[in-house]
Amino acid sequence: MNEALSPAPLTEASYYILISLLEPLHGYAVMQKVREMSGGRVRLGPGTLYGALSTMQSAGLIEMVEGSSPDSRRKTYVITPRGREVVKAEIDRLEQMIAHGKMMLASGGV
Amino acid sequence: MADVKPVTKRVFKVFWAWQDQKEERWLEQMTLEGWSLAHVAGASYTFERTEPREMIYRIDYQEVSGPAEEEYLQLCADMGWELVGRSLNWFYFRRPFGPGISLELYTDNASRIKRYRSQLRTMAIALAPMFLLALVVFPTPLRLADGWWMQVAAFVTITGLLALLYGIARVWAVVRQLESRPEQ
Repeated sequence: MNEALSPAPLTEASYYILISLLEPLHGYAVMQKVREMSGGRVRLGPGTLYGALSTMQSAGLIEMVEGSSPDSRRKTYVITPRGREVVKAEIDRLEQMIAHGKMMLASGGV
Repeated sequence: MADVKPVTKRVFKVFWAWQDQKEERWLEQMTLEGWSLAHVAGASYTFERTEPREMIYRIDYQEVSGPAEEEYLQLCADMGWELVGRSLNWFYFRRPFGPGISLELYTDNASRIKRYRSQLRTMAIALAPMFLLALVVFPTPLRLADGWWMQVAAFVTITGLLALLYGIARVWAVVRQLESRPEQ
């Protein structure tokens, strides 16, 4: 894997926001989806959510969906192909972490 | 029947950029005593008489305008936060307590740090013109001969510059303190 291209690991909140947007959603719906998916464990405040949506949009990981009424104050977002790549890379990274952890526990544990 | 205007009072109090939590607690205390925030402009706070109630106040710093600002405010409103005031880039929100709701605008450390860093960045950007201005008005023997107003200009500019540097140091201290927390 090309080290120069690998993105920084996502925060838990950002990761959940990004995977929620595998289907088009607007901000509030993302918050509900994340809360539901994580069984209430991952809570999103508006500052965190708005910041993540802005950052991800600038980074090209998500995009605004055209066609939602242009004068609506609720913007709908959806993941981009680049965003999907980032999700896959992140899942790979997390799977490796899990595998290493389990391996160390198994070898050192009683 | 004539409309009854709510009783209001105006309070002047200075809270600096790094004292937002102190400011939030003060607003919460005021509302516990029956005064709810109605308007903010700099150091001027206008309160309305209401029944004493326990409400959460949170202040956000956002550099938004136009459609981005509308989107941001809509999201906050959707998530149950009532906008009660705005002063420059600071947004004042209020909400009641309730089960299952988040008490914070920023629910993880990383995003909270970003919020203070963006304040820091804007303050640092303001440094350059301040420095230039200070150089221009810096009292040299030649300039002092110009008159008392030159000395006043120098004093004001240099004090302003020092105040800005101090403010930057305090906000930076908040960022460092947040960064030293273990990752959530």
